[in-house]
Order: sequence, then C-alpha cells, then structure tokens
Amino acid sequence: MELAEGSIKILVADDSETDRMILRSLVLKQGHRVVTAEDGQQAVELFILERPQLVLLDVLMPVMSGYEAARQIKQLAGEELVPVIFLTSLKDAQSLAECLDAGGDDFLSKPYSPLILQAKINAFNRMRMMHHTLQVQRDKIAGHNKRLLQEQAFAKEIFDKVAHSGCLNAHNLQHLQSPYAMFNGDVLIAARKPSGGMLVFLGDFAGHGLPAAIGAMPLAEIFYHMVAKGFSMPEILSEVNSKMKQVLPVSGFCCGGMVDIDFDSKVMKVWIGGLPDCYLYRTKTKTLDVLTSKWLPLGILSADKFDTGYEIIEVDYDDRLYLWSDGVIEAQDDQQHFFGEERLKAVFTNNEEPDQLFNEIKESVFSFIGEPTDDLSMIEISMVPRDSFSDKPVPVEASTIRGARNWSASFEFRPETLQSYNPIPLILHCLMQVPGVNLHSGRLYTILAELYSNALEHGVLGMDSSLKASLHGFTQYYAEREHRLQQLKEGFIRFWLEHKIEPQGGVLVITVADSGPGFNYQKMMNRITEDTNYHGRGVNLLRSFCRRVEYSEVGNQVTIEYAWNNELDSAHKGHH
Amino acid sequence: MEHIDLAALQELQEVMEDEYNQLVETFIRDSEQRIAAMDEALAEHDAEQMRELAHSLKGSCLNMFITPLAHLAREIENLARERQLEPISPLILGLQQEFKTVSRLLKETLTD
Amino acid sequence: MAVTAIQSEDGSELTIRIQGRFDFSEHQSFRDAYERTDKLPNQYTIDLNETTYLDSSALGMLLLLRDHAGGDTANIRIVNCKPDVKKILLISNFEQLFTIQ
Repeated sequence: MELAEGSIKILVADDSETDRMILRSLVLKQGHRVVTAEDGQQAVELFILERPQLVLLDVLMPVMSGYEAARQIKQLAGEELVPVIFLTSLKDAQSLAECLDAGGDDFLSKPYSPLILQAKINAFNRMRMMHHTLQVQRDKIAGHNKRLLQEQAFAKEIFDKVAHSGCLNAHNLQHLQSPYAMFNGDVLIAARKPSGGMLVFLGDFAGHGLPAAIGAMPLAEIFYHMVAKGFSMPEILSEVNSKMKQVLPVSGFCCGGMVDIDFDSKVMKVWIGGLPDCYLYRTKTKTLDVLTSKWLPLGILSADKFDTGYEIIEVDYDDRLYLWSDGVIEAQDDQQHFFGEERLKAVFTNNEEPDQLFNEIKESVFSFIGEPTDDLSMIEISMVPRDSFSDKPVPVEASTIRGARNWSASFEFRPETLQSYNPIPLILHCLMQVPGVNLHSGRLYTILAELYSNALEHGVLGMDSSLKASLHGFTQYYAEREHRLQQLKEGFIRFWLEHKIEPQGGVLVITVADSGPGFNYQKMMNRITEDTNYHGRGVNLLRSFCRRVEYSEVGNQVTIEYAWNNELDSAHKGHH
Repeated sequence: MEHIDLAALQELQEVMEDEYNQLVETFIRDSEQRIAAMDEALAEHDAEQMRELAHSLKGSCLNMFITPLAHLAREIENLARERQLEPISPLILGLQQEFKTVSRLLKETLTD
Repeated sequence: MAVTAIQSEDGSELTIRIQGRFDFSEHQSFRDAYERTDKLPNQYTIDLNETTYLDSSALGMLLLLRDHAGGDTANIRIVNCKPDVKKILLISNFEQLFTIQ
C-alpha cells in the first residue's frame, strides 16, 4: 500500500493517443507514476495488475466505455477508496449524471489545466488517505471489540464460577439479571447458611464496565467463604467493606443490600447501603413497607468507622422483600422519562396474584422502556417454611491439611470478646481440621451456635428465654440482648473440644461452661418432649443430633457427644 | 480567432519537453486518419461513427489549444447526434481546410 | 455543562459550581477545579443549584474531593441541591460524609 502523500500511481485511460500523452506528461511532471490504457477493458486489466491509487478515465472509449470500466474498478477496489476522475468534454447534465452513477468521483475537462489537475489529484489523495486511515482505525476498533467480547466471555466464565456457586435458584428467590450485568457492575449472590438460613446480597458498583465489575469478584469470594464458615451478616458486611475499601479506588464504592433470612423465626435482617428504597410486600394485608437505605455504601468508610447495624423485620410466610439496583426506577423511555417510584408502586397496588408480582414488575419496566436492558438487577425474597427446602446442606470446605484426628483444645471467651466477636467460625474452623468431618459442618455449626447462644444469652447475660416465646418478642429480645451485651463487665464462656477416632469416623466431645447462675435442668429435661416452643427447641435440636447431651454443675455446664462417620446419610438416618 | 493559441501551446511544449515533437506528429497523424474516416462515414451515412470521430477530434484539439478546429468538430458532433448528415458535408470541407493550416502552423513549432 | 471554581480572596474557601449533568464527563474538570488551587482551602462548598442530575460517578468524584481535602477531617458543604439531586445524595447516606444543606 502506497501512502506517501507526494507520489502515487495513477492510471490514465484514453483512446486518443494525443490526449493520453498530454495527460501522462502532466501527471509525471507533478511527480506521480503513470500507467496508461487505450480502452476500458485495458483499464480494468491494468487496474488489477498495477493497483493504481487514482484513475483518470475517458468516457467514450472503444471495447469498454469509461462508465463500465469505472463500475468494475470501483467493485475491484472494494473498501479501499480509489477515486475515479472522468476526463470529459461532455457538458450535458445527462452524461455528467451517468458518470456519477457509474461511481465517478469528479470530472476533468479538456483542455487540461495543470493547476486544476494538481489540485484534484492532491485533494483526492488526501481523501483517499483519510479514508484509508478511517478504515484501518475501524478494523482496529472492530478487532479490539472482538477481543473485548472474547475477554468478557472469559471473565464471565470465571465470574460465574465464583458468583453463581450459591443458591440464587432457590425456590424462594426470583431474580432478574442479564448475563452480562456484571459488566455494569451489578452483583447478585445468595447462599444458604450452615444453620439453614439464607443470606442474599444485591450490589451495584459505582461506574460502568470492567472497572466497576472487577470489585464483584473479591466481594463474591468473601461472601461465599464467610457464609459457608458461619459468619454473621455484620461480620460479612464488615469484611466486605474493608476489602472494598482496600481494593477500590477512592472514587469507587458498592451500593448494596444484604438480607439475612431466618426461616425458623420468620425474621429478615436487612442492611441497605445506597440502594434505592426497597419494598416489603406483606401478602396478608396487601401492604407495602418501604425500607430506606440507612447506611453508606461499601468501600467508603474505614473499618473502624463502618457501622454494622441492620434492621430486624418480622414477617409472615409468603411475604416478599424486593431489592433492586437504581436501574429499575431510573429505567428511561425514549423520551428520557424515568420509570419512577409511582409506576413501581402501582404494580403492587394493581396486583391480584402475589406470585405474579415479580413478573409484573419486570414486564412493567420492560414495556415502559420498550426493550429489556442490561442495566437492571432485582431480586424477590419470599419467606417460606424451612422444611420447604429439600437441598442438602453445603459442607464447609475440607481442610487441605491432613488433619488432626486425636486431640483436645480449650477456649475461654471474656467480655470484650463476647461483645464484638463471634467465636463460632473459629471453633468450626478448628473442628474442620479433622479429615472427613466437613460433611457434618452444617450440623456442627447448628450445635455450636445453639450451645454458644444458650451460654451467652441465658448464662452470661441472664436472659429469660420465655421473652422469645411471644409472637412479636424477637425484636424486643434482640434489643435487650444487645443492651445487656454492651453493659457486660464480667463473665466468660469456656469451650473444651475433644476428638477421638472411632471405626469409620470419630466422636467429638464438646463441653461448654458459662459464668451464669445455671438453671434447673432436671425440670427442663423432664418436660422437654412436649415443648414445641422456640425456646425449648434448642435442647431438642441438640438431642436429635447428639449421642449424649448432659447438663452438670448448677446447670451452667453442658457436655455433648457427636459421633460421626464418613457418610453423612447413614448418620442422618439415626435422627429422622 | 487564432488557429492555435500559441501561448498556451508554448506552455504545453514545456510540459512535454522531449516528447513534444512526438505529440505533434501523433496529433497530426491521428487527426488525418480521423478526418479521412469522417469522409468515409459521410459516404456510408454512418452518423454514430461520425459522432464518435468528431468527439475524439474535438477532445484532442481542445487539449492542443486548437480552438477553431475543435469548434468545427463540435458542430459536426452535434449534427451527427441529431442524425443530420446533410449539413455536415460542407463542414468537413471547412474542417479539412482548417486542419491544413493548423498542420502547417504546428510543424513550425517543432524543434530540431 | 460546566464546572467553575471560585476561591475566596484569602484562599480559605473554594466554591465549586456544577451546571447541568454531573457525571463522568465532568471528571477531569471537577478534579482540575480543586487541584488547581494555589493555597489549600480549609472549607469547600459544592454548589449544585444548577445541577440537574447526579450519577454514581459524581458521588465517586465527591469522595475523591473528600480524600483530597483530608478524608475524615475534610470540611465540605454541599449546598442548593434540587430535590432529585438531594435524594441521590441521601440514598447513599452521603450526609454522613458531607454537610448537605
């Protein structure tokens, strides 16, 4: 490809030798190279052979006319711009129009003026180079775009493995997220907790494209790891916030909402930082509770300033909580009107069948903007009975170290620790050092959590469990628990852990003692079989999982024995 | 009007340099052939052939700054396009006359 | 769309005014507005009186300014917000980081 502005190769086609000679000399004189043809056919052949950058064509030629030659040359040139200038003494409009129809770019009339010829050659050469540059750039952009799409597909594959390892497909969730929403910086993840509950997070990173998407990876990783290890929502939020603060640029952050769902007590704990108002639809009363964002988005505050609060909301079965990115109310029609809150609320007002709510919202937004969009994520979370889940608990990852089989350990947790630290993941992590025991992580988590909360709430904090029995007592109970915890000056909880090998498995002996006054466990043990209230259930639960549950001292010490074997299912049989 | 715009031709001569003589000879030879062929076209009542010949002659003449001859060729071209061969006959005579003069003048510009 | 910055005579206060949409396209001019000051002001005022829209990149830019102005010790007022603009700031609870009037 010849691109020097000075010199180009020019094809001159004219059947008149005189005219050909003159034009040839003029063009040569101006520093270009010339190839000459005596008719249209020759011109086309020479074009193929010599690939000149510009063509000067006589109109009336034998064998093949200039019109036809121009047509063929333009076709051969393809995407490259090869200017064709017709040499003519024709003056009538019809002939000139025909020249343009044939693909001619300009005319040069006889007698040839060297000045005009030069001006035209230069002008068309500039245009030709500009066209060439544009095309090179276009191809480059197309190439970049192709590569970008390939990279996105690759990134999406990795992202899907990390982000979609959870339970977004659970029957109590409905979600909307385009396959490439991650490239808008949207993230939607959900996971079952070892205790049987569920944690859901919907996030929307500031900005768009890869810079926004990139933070979703560490976020999802932390989320899944911590949920599986039994960390609580505030702990996960706090960790995610620190990580985002650490990895995102100062101007980057992640708006989001996290919901911790307890199917047993029908409680949702909700944290919203920077998402638009989220709605809780109470199916029985057909009312809408609006939950506003009360916290700063993730990744802005340093760890010591981050507030790990949340709202506790008691709901009923079939109630639905909706979280969404701002893409819903900010969805725009072709007049740039926002979908807005009024239209969103109207969907709820007009709804007749709650199961259809999610679809109705989706359709309402899509019909408003005229087409589905990438820039929108939302999720519906329904409260359902715990036993409606048939899925097996997801085991905590097995320790990669060939672990300890025969050991004992003890821990003592004191007030400052009890106030701000949840020791369950630490202890669970300890237990997971035993090879094979990871299949039992869900059950062990439940046992540990039960032992710990009994020791803390009824032992150290001296709370009366009957408070919890009242239907709407949960909120009150948790407020009181929080209050007493912050006032706590003395007290302790001790754990003794011991593991021994048994054929095809082992036995874990866990003893928990607290500094509390204890309780009349004989009395409780006696009436336990009839008691179906929440507060009695804890002990029932322990007994159903454990080979032995024994209270001792003044009732402030309990020992359990959990026998396990290498297959979860056969262990299961004994309890159900 | 001058038979040839000699000033313009002078410039062309400078552009053509060594090829100028060859150009003039080519022009004279081609034009002689064209004018002879026009005679034949007239005899054979071939208006299309007449038009093409006159068009080519016109173009060459214009490029050589031989304006009166170009004008005559254009008149003939126009008549041939209208298929009026009758009035062309006297014009061809004029054309031949003018060409003789032009040939003589052109030859005078040749260099050694 | 325009970002203008006026520094008080003693240099102690910098007022940045944003006209039209405040989004990523204003990134450079907003940065220039607070970085090209001779003396570091101790009070910043962001006047959003003529701001019609604010997106998440704008929130990011405000965070950049906050960082530039000393992070937790930054003294930044955001004034004259239109209701829509204010709502966006409040959804993200930016009143915890900035004085919004």
